Amino acid sequence: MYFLLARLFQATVVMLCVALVGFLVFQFVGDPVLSLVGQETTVEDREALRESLGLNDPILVQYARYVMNAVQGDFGISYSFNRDVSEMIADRLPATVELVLLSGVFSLLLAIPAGIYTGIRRKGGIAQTIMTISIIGVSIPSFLLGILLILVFSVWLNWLPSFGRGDLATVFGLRSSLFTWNGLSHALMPAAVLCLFQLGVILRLIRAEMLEVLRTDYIRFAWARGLPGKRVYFGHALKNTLVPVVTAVGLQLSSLFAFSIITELVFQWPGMGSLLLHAIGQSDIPLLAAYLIFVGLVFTISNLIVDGVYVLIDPRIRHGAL
Amino acid sequence: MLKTYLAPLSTALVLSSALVAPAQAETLRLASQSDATSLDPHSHNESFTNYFLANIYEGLVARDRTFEITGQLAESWEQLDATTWRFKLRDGVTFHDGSAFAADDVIFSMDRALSETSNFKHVLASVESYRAVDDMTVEIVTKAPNPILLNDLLDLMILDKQWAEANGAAEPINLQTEEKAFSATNANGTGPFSVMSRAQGEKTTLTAFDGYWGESGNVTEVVFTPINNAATLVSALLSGEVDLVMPLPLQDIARIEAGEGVKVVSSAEARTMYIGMDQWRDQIIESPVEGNPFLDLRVRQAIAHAVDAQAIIDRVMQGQATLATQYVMEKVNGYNPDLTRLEYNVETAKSLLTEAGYPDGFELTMDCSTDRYVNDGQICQATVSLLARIGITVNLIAQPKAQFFPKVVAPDFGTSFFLLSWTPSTMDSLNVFQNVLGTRDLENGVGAWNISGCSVPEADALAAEAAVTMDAAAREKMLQDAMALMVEDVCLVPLHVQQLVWGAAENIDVVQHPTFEFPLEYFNVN
Repeated sequence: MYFLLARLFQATVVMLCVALVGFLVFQFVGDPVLSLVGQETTVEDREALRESLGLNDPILVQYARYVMNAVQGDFGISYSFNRDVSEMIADRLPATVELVLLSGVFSLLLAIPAGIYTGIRRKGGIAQTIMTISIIGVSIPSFLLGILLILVFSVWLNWLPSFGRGDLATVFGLRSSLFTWNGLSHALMPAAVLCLFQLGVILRLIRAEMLEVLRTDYIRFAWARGLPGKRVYFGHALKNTLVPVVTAVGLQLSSLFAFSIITELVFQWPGMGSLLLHAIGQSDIPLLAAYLIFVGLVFTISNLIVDGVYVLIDPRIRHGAL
Repeated sequence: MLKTYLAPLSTALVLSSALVAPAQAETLRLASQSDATSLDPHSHNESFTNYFLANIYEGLVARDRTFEITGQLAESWEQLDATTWRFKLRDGVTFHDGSAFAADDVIFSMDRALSETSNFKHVLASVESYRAVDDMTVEIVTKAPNPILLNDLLDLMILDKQWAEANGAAEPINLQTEEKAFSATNANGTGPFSVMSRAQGEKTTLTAFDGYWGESGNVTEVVFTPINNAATLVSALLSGEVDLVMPLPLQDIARIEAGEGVKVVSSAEARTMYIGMDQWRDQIIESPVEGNPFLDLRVRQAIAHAVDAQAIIDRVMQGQATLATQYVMEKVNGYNPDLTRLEYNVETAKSLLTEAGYPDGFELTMDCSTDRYVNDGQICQATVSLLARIGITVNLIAQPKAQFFPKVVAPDFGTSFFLLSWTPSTMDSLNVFQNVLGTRDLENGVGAWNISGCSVPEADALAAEAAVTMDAAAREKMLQDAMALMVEDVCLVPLHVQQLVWGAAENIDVVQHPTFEFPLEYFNVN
């Protein structure tokens, strides 16, 4: 209980800092008033609007006012959309969650076995091939990969749609495009782009950890005891690689949430990333602030979950030995 | 065997589609890098938004297929005297929700356009009063004779009074209230298309309005998707997922021209690009030079001689622009056909600079946006190297529009050398004199965009006279003379008139206007 409260307090401080840094940066994103009014609007009208939006107040006053409202669940109204910011985020969130789930699940399903395999048979031909592919995945920028996929699968082969989110369907009260073929065909390419990068990172981490652990004394002792390979690899080695891997996976998945911006831009995926780009272009401060807080929240929560998982997989943490 | 089996089948298919063709639903899939920022026709005055909404809402007057002003919701009009106009409204017009259109809707919309939160007050700036004479007649009285009242009224969209009042949208969206802005996401106009669904930044679906009073093409459904990334936008056209892309990024013109089943459609746009020079400060800013060299006409002429606008058109604009001789393009009323551009000549430029006392040139800072106009950043880079040839060292500040505009516009006008452009929304050069060329007088709303701060009193006088002259020929002469004076004074260095370039599927017929309008009722899917 104390542990949880302490973490919550830390999380609050982190988010307040995130919002403060955000507000200091917003002074340089441009003048929202100019993107709201037309070229014929008089100087006085522009000034009046700026005053009524509270943009003439000192930045700390704007920040304090924002935090007071945010605590009450009010994130303000987007300048460019004229809608509640919280409503807008709720609208766009499912699209991003779909991509994160699809790419996250696939990258884990592929990365864990491939990482273990390349760790054990690091000299084999298959392992070398996997490692080469993973280097490509980590090093090709996602916008380039995205455009390449569009060129091949949409323009040349005409198999997959090049942009947007597909039809939605409701299953068990959940509304998602992953429940229709049309929706899946739209999600496939952006998810693949996100997946390939994650895959490379997680796979290489698991492999490195496996190599590390396989050199340790207790593994040698296990071999000396004549234990079968399956038990040595999975029962003793794999378990001990998991702590750093879980940390990395937690961070990777939350960064997918927050920063799938480029992929969303390339595929015109109507998620959080494209919303952020729009907000920057329009100097939409309420939207930008809410986005920052949201990202802070995602990272904080995922770290909380990771901390919880540690306890489950490593008995030493549970018993206070570490 | 297979062939003989398929042949009758395909014949049957052709026949059946020929039979249903007249009543067939034709969907036009439209894509653009921007989206309408609001559905409220009096809220955001931004050209893409205005032209998008012009398919849903209508005004008293509008541009027809050939760009002439014609009656839309007004069937006809007459002038009782120099300042009194009477508009006879069109009978039998209904809004999308079925309610009838009448004079009280016009009066309501004018009130709304003038309300505190509106961004369209300028549309009625010349109007003294207005009233409904009867159910189908509206009278407008102007403060002084206004020869371009009809041009002003083009941007005044008419809403349904009952609908707006019932939904709390009697005033344009107020940005600081906590209420939800119904009119930002819902629309009820009299136009040829009504809004079926709207997800801003994602997708908007329009359907042809059954009860539309006028003629409309064969498009029955419009699916509009904003696609921000240029490469994705062009791929979507090439893969046949969208039918029309506007505008088409210049670097992809060759690809679309070579592509199968797609074509490039282009025509001159009313936007004139120009370079501005500080002519109001005693000391130019962000430059080590003493004083203000631009106060000397010879320095301004030298810059005009040194900037090779044709090279910019050929290289940077890939030929998709025409040379500008003045600050408006030829379709704008008041264009002066006799004017010529100062020729590109480095030697002349150098000798003018020497005469002015700058034989070795000088150093200055140029402000430039990178995401507002077609290839704006590259135009500025080209300008930098062209000016280097006459010894002028330019430090370029290329910045996103979100930083550029706050820096250069009123009240600071924080630049001494910059790239900008203007589209006269009324297609009349008086608009350019009032905003860009007229001597700055911010209290009276003149010269708010005269960032150069140039001033030619004779031209001001001519423009002021033209503003109240009803005789069209005499008026045009005044505007042309005023333009000649401004060009002679090198208030700005004109560069080029941008082309409007769209990419379309082969079977789409479009109508392009110099103002970027896209009147979908004139579009056809073949």
